Amino acid sequence: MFMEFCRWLEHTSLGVSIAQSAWLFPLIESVHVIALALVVGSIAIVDLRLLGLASKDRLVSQLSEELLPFTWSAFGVAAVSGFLLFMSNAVGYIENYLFRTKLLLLVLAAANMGVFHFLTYRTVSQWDREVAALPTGAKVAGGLSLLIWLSIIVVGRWIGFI
Amino acid sequence: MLKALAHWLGSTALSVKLQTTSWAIPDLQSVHIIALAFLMASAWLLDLRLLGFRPHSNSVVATARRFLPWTWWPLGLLVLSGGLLVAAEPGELLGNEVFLLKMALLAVAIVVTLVLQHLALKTPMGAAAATLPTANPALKALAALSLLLWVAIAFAGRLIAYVD
Repeated sequence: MFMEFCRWLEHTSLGVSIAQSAWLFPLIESVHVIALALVVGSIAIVDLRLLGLASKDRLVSQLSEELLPFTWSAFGVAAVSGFLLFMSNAVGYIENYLFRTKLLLLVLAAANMGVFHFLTYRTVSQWDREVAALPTGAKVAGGLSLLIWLSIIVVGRWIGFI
Repeated sequence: MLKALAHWLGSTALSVKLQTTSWAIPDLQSVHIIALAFLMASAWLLDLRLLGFRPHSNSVVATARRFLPWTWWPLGLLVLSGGLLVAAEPGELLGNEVFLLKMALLAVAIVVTLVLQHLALKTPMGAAAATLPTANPALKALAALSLLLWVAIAFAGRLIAYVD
């Protein structure tokens, strides 16, 4: 049934236009790369703080609250542009194992964020300021997040070569 | 001249090695995009702070001190990975107009960042000036320019693959 949906998607007039136009795909792809760069770069700032490696003079809570609107806006643009790229060749992408790997990595990134937010972050007041007080859970979340997002970039770039 | 340069570069051992390694280009491009992510987010966060679009809990000087190093070292990594990408396809890139446009924009972006850095770091540190939402007009103009230049450079970078 999902394949039917993909088949339908790539036959919509929008999907066909993106696939056939000489400039629409490169244009959307450029927007996707820029948005993803802003997503990963801003998430990395929080990750490096959680690892105790950068922004050490900033409160974890203040840093993440100030960056969140920026990260989510960029993520919105990356998701919409990514979906438009997907529409141009939905079946082909689903059949590409690297594309499926990228989706799985996005789910893992979300799960990691969820665990951090609902478990580790509840005690943030105890380790908000001091780098030395960072709990293992926060460091693991930061390290995993960095690893997953950098992998998303690598896998995403390889999709175009398979 | 560029043709001669491309020809010479293409005959070097490093270039031959890169041209015959199938995974060299996608892996170098991945490193290039990761470095771009660090540069782009840092440059944008500083630019948006200078333009008054970001929370001003931190002063202009502190924001500049925080983000400028994260603009410069990824730029080094971008130039290095970019240089290797040129070595992997010297003929294609040095003869590509979008690539040459990107290099020209990059040169402008570097000058803009240097001037912006100079002005931002000497912003008055007084209590009122430090937490002002926006910077002086010249600094704001440079911030807007920097924001647009990095977007244009990233665009050009992706479009190189689509033109001859």
